Amino acid sequence: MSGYFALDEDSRKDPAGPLGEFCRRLLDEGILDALLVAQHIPDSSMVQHTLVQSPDKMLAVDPVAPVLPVNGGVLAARLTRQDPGGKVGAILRPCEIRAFFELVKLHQGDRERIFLIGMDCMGTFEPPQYREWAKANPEASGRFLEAMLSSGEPPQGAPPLRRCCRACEFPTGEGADVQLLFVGTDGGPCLFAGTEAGETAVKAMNLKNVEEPAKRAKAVETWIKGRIKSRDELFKEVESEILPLDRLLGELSSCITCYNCREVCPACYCKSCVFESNTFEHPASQYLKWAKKKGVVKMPTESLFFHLTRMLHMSTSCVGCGQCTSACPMGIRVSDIFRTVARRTQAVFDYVPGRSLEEPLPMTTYKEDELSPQW
Amino acid sequence: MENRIGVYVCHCGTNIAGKVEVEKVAEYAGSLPGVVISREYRFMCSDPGQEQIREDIAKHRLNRVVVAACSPRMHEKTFQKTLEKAGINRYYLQVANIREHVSWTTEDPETATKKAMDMVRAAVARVPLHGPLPTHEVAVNKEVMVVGAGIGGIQAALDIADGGYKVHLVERLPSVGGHMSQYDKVFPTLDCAACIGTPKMVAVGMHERIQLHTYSEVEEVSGFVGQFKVKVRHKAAYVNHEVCTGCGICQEKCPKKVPSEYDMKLGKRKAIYTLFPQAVPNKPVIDRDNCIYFQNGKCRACEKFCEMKAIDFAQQDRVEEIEVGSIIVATGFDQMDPSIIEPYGYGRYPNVITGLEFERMVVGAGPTLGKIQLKDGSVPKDVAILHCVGSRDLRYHEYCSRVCCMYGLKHAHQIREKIGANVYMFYIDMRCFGKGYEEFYNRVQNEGVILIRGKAAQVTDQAVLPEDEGRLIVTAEDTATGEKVYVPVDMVILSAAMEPRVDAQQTARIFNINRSKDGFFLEQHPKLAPVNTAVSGIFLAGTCQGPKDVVDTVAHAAAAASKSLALASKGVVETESMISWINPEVCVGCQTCISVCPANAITYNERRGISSVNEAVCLGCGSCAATCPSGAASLKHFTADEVLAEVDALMGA
Amino acid sequence: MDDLGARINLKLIEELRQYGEFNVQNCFSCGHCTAVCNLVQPGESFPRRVIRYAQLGLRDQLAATKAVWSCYYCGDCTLSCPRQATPGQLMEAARRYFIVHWDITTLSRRFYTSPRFMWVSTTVMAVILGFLFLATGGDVVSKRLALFEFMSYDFLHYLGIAVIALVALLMMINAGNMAFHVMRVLPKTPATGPILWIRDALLACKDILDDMTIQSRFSKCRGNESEASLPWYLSRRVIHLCIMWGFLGLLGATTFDFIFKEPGSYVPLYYPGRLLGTVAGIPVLYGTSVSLWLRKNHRGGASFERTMLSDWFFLWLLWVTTITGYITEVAVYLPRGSILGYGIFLIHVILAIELILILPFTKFSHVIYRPVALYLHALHLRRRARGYEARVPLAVGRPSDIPSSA
Repeated sequence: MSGYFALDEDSRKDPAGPLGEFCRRLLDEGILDALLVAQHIPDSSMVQHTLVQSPDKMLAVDPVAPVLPVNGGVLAARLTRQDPGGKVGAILRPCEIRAFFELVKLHQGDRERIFLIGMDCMGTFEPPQYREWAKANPEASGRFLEAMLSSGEPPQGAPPLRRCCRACEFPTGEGADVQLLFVGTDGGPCLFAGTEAGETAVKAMNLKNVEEPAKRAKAVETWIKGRIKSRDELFKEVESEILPLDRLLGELSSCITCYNCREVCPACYCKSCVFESNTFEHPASQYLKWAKKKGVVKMPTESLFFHLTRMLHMSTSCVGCGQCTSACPMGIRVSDIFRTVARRTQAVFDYVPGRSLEEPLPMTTYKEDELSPQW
Repeated sequence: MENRIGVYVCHCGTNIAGKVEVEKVAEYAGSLPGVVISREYRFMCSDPGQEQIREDIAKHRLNRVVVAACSPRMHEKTFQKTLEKAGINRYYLQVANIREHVSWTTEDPETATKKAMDMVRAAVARVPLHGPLPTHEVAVNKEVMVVGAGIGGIQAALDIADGGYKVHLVERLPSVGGHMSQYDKVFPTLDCAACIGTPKMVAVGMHERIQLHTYSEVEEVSGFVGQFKVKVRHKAAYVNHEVCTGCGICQEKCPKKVPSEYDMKLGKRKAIYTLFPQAVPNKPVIDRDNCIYFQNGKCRACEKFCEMKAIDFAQQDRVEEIEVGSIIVATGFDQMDPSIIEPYGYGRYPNVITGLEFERMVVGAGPTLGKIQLKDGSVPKDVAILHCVGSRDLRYHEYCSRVCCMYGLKHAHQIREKIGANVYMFYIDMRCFGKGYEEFYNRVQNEGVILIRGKAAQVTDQAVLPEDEGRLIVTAEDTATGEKVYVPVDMVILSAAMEPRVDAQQTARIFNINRSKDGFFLEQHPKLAPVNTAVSGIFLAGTCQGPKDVVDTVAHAAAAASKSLALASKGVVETESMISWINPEVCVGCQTCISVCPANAITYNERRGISSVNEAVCLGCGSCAATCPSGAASLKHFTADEVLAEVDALMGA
Repeated sequence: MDDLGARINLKLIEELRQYGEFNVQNCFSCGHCTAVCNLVQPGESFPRRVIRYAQLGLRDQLAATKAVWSCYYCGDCTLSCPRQATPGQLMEAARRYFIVHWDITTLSRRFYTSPRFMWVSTTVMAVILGFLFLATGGDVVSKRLALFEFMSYDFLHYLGIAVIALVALLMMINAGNMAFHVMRVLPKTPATGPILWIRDALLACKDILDDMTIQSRFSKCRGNESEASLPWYLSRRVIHLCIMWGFLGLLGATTFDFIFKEPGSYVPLYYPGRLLGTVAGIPVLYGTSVSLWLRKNHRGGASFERTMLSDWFFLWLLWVTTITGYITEVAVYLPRGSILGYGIFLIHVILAIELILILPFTKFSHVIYRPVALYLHALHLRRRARGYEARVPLAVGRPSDIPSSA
């Protein structure tokens, strides 16, 4: 018996239907008590995560909609930090799952308390651009999916994919209990049961067991290769702009320390950020001292320091979900910069965030041979 | 409240003033904001120096003090006391190290003076942010636990009990006594070990304040200094010791003989046994693995013959939780098994034995009744004693085992005395450092023992001459002449290395103490704190900390006892004030601090979802503060504000 | 045995104990004695190594050690030993031991270890000699001291030659014994051609010349406290040089007389033989008298602290021989011959002959052993200095500074 099960053939053309059916069944058949899933908000073209408890409220489910308004990993953590008092599930994109894993390692969530459904993520648009496109093209998620699967590009007239999505080399739902597979599955999307819990659930739903899609491995490989190429181009591009490091301030000069990036970042888990504490409430004379020492200082003085600190604190956990760039009102490509830096900090510890729950966070363990450069 | 800072720049004789222009520094300090008075003086740590500070505090109403002098490790406590005496909190002090960090490390006087000024400026910037840290006291449970009842543990227990406090003496074997009870005589006095040891053993067994827990092991230790909770497992002896009179008939009647570990397998014991005739307590235990009844349900001879009906095959292990204020670890050593050193033939040749085996042989009450003999019962004519077997050898143990030179000489003397055989000792150095040791060495040499300075290369039974057939040949270089010598002997005694106990790693884990490179338990400071460990309230006594002989063990144990007595008699222990604190408002419970804490001082509160610091255990290392990204964990006296103020002032021109 | 190594022989030290009182049981080879010794050359290691050989009973190595013969026994080593062992005394005992050991007749052993044997044999020898002389001699002439009418000159002459030949032969054998054993232990030196061989042999003679003549090394051997306070004319070196050269002078005089002088004829004092004999006797008398006096008072150095019977015997013998010689010489001028005069002459001759006869069996034999040992070692060094490829590590202490050729 392979771990692969079939979903309806139509679910590719009209994912809302069969996928929605799948979600309803999860609740109907009591496999879950509540499901966190992206839905269209009534009277709006926007899609948001919703926690659905009643199957008949599962009207506008659209996990394939190419938008990531909020990193669902944070939501999953909130739902599992203490015992939620019921069986909770979530359909999450790969970056959301990986972010959730990082939060689990930080004791902000509990893997055992949630049933994870991952998916092949084809990418997302910037939320404002998605909103406009979705307004003009209601129920276009299916077209989007088809276009991505056939040509690898969004359909005509659609906005471009976010840069971080194009550079993401982990587009499959590894680590989830059940994965929704679109890529390389000829006869329509299938489900893959990745864990025992997943297998149990899928069997309970009596889904048709199918063979492993023959073309999938190759297709995924090609897909990821393309992503890696794009990623490396991104690194090169960013490095040429911020290296040597003195130029980093240039990139971050527009920062207004609104701290949006920090607020939306799933890996930034602190209840209260140190930059809000009185450590950074400098006496007036201090500013003058600094100005005197250097001749001139940019005000406020801690914007660069803030980003550097954030890199130090969480770059080993950065999954490149791009929320920070999307949230920045000044249009700084925060995610690209962070991913470029994170590549190095993660390599020092040979660490890939979200890859495995068994891998401890680099800051919590000591290995004799760490800190030697990996390149 | 305005800052009123007093700055004191010390000359330290010429140690500082020889390089740094202290008057200039003091003058500069006077110009800094908040500084009310600034002085320089030859020796701030002296009485007049300290008196000056006290006077100024009173006269100028100082509320902060900066002393620019030697390293705080030298005199921070001194000056803190000065402040206390003058009535202000001792933590309102900052020491700027302008000796080790400036005067002793800078060549050019001008640079040195400027650097000293920078450091004083930094101290002055920092000190207003100091808080009046409270001191905490934790009540100390006056009972003490001593783990291991060899001569070290016994001595410690007696010292503490004589001091008026209750001692729980835990010993894993059925009797106290340890390795020393196995020896025949001790060097250099050649006192009979049993004669000097048994009175102490009896004292420990009879002392009203010592509770013996023999045939017991420590399973778990929790808590902290003053409030330890120890789980002790009393192993089932299958004999009711309350009722048993120690008559010994069970041992007589037991049909099962087993090689005796106590006799180094030279003799046998029964499945029901006491360790040795003078055992304390003199009550037998049943070795379950070798008892016929336990193996296949038959026999029960002991039960049949016991008049007191003391045999109880249904006895169970019993776990007891004991609360104590401090713990002394005196678990002793093991002798290395030299069979891994192939060239010496231990294990291949029956007449190659270790030092401990020889001890059991030569003991009058031992398996051979004191007769020095070969395995076939004959008396050897020539005996070789090989030193540094496994010690001073980078292939096995780099360290010197410290006792073997002396006990090698002792054995040589005993052999000469008892059987008059020729004794050849092969050594690298003769380490006779103690009182009476060199005299003993001289004495033994005068008894005709032949000492060959050269490490023996091998022991072989391949004789070259027909007259040496059947004997063991030892080869070595006599470095005094540069000649290689080969010596045919009948018996070879290996002075094998003293090693940490086989299970030292588990023991270390239980007590949360560290081991040094050689595997023995780690002391806090090799010179100045040989009995303390990194864990407050846990002390070391005897050979578990490193090789040593009986006299050093006794001294070491007495030292450990004094530490326990100090804690018990004071009744409270002041915990370190410069410790960490986790702000419950900010902490989000990620537990990263717990994973980096070396003292296991942080606990996670499941209900509140936050972590908190156990103030009694925290060492104040600051690892948690450094790791916590939100700044929830901070180190008192080293908060971000204080440190950054110091850094900013250093960086300012 | 060579690959395995040497075998320890615990009996040697007991054998050595017959020839002196010493205690080296607790020597721990610290090397202090070597460091203190003024005579040690670079690379040498005595007395420490000698003691070590003795402790382990490595007789062969001990036998081949030059140190046994080049030590002058100032006793500083014993004074300074931290274990209060007695290296100096051991060296003495070793010297006596080897005098005994090289003697193939084994008579030396009896001489050294049995006072009774020594007295009995020397007395018997003296009696026999006396008897022989009287038997072969003539009458006592009372008018003048007619020495060679009293004693048969021919008998004396032939007896003398026989004694010297016998002793010379025996010493050659004994010295050969020693040389053989020493060469056996000394490492082989590379072969050289005959010319170089002869050259080395001659150079070796030059090397030991000082030791054979003025013994300047001896002056370095002065025990710090006991000897340093003595004036030069009471130093052991002067004493020994006096006795040695005096004796050689006397020997020369006697030989000269034997060859050139008509027995019994009168010669004036300035006759070379007679002059030499008269003059040479003075240092002998001086040296032996001073030596006897110092030894009696336990002064003069560590070696004079303890005097064995063999030492007394030899010194007294020499002294009496010399003094009887002088008395005889004076007596010749007296107007009448007397029994006393003839008696003293007889004693003189007997003792002189005995002196030679017992040479191989007493301390006296050092006159052969010592030069031979020193020569063998000097020769070895010379040959070793002739550049060779492989330097063989040497078991017996020797200088690492090779004397440069020529």
